[in-house]
Amino acid sequence: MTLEEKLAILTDAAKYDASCASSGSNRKGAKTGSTSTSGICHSWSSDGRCVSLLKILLSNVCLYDCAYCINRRGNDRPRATFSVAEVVTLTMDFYRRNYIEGLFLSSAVFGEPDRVMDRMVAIARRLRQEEGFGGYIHLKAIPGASLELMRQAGLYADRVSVNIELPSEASLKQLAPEKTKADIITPMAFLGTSIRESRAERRRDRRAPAFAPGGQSTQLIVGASPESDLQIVRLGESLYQHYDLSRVYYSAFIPVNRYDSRLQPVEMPPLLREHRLYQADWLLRNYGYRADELLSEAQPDLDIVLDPKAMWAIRNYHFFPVDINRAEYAHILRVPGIGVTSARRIVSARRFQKLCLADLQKLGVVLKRAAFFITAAGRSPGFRRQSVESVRRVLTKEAQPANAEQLTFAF
Amino acid sequence: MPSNLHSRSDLPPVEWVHDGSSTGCLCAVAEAYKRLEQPPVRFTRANAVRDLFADARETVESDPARAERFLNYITAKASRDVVHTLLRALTAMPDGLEPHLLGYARKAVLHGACIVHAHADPDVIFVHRHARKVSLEIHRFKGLLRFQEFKSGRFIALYEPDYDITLPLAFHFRRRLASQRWVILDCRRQQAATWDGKRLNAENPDGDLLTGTLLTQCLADDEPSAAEARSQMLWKTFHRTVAIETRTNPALQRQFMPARYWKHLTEMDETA
Repeated sequence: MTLEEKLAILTDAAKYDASCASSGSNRKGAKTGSTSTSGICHSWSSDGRCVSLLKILLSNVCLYDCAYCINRRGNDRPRATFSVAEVVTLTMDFYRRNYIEGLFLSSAVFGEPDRVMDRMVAIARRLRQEEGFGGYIHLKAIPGASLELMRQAGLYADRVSVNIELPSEASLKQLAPEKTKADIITPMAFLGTSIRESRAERRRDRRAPAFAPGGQSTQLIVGASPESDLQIVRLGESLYQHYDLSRVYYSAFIPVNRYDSRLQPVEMPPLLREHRLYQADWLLRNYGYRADELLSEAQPDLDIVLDPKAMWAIRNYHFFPVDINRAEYAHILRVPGIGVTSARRIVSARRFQKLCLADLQKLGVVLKRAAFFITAAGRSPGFRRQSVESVRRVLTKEAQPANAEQLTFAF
Repeated sequence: MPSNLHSRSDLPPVEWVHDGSSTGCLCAVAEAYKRLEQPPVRFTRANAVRDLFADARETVESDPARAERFLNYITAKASRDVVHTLLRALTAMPDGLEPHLLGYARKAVLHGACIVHAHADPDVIFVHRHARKVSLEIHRFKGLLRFQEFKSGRFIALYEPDYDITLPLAFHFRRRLASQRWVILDCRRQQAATWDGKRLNAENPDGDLLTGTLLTQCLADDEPSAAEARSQMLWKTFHRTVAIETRTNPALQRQFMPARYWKHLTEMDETA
């Protein structure tokens, strides 16, 4: 089999992994390569997702039979496995031409978890030690591999991640019978602790070795199992709180194995639901919302028509209007149409001058949304001129894109 | 208040003429700053149509030392960040930049480093908007630049940016690809940055970007290496395969990767 054929097979097998981030790490002084805190995207594929890392599987030969996975044992597909040298050469060749920001290596489980993980770590070690590679490396940990291998992975890689795969243990048992919750949570907890300790250590001594400076992330599939958005958002919240995750990725289930009766029936991948979950996730991480503010047992799913922030604002209309010139940052952040950037700008700009509506527009505030929730310099253009119901109607009307299903979230 | 601040308004408005370069623009702004010109202040670039209604016209010589003194003054009064922003906006050089630059400089001296937070001020908005455009393009090309391996062992990248950003890009790749020799060639402006593994633009005695005959000499007798075609083919295979068919969304792809950049992007070249 030629290298090109292998690359095609193992890229095709890896493409459903959502993560492509190359941010959070700042590596300098290597022979070839550096990383930048902001991350750099190098290209965009025809689905509009960014390409920043060489995202491949080490092998797609799998002993497991997970219902949602294209590479499962039972599927009749071409199989291939890279050698260590092939991955190293490919990465360096691509990196020298500035095609990529680094390597994202995952793998099917072709043998004992330790054997698979050991080969992945070997690739990272060789890139760092023999090639003097300073670019980004993201290793996907194999569930069930030993913690010693996890530790080594963290020393060579910028990010290590364990996929949680499904939103509940019951679904995991049903759809991925060979994986257990412990296989996933144990390494995740270990990585979380190691990352935290390494950060503390490096604050004391800058020369202390970095452990996965880009943090850890995870991914779960949405729509393959019956969990509600409330369960998923709560899961995300607890992962951020307890395991120090940098990111949780939500992947709309793409029905690659149509005839498996264990799966929920889906025609199209639930892209809009995925988009809403990402919005809710952003609210958790950057806007200071809690999961139970966004959803409740009575209302367990995110609204498809309106985004979660607008929904919260309409349900809590008594919280408004927010006075742009006086309110604290956290309150300004709750106004629909004002994001993190505009809220920060408002807080710093108002030290120089009193802000009026025209100023807000120049700062990047989306006034046609924000107008219903604010007062500025004594004027409240939309607030309470209308009832909550009519505000909801206006926002809904405006939220209708030409083709709602085309919404794709960009990383 | 100094007396000349009043006297100025009694005089006919002056039109400040400069040569249109960043240095010239800075010198003109520095001159207007020094003379305490009050708005509206008029500036004209030498190659532009002149203001017929200006009563007096003064040409400001382009003097690199003076431009630098002015920037040092602002650094001292405000911060390096402020100067960095001014320089980025100068790279963009949009129409009508000069009065805003003058206003920005005055406010920077008055308020100090925190002027970058005055997001509602018209001068700050104007300068920041254009500085951001340049920074965005630099950031984009950190990813979108494509190097090809040549027979001489050098890696050469061709590109056609909207703004003159070759030098800031060279600073980035000097760190990133430190161990290989490379050339970044701006095809539109016909200028290049080179790295020989130790020094930037070693071929030019002044250390500036290569242009004219220096550039021709530098690129003579070189063609893509034998290994190059294979790497390009592998990259195209990867780029094609990594897309998920059920999520195809070319509009989104174009939004992040504008079609005007495709000419030099290996993966968007449909021919091979």
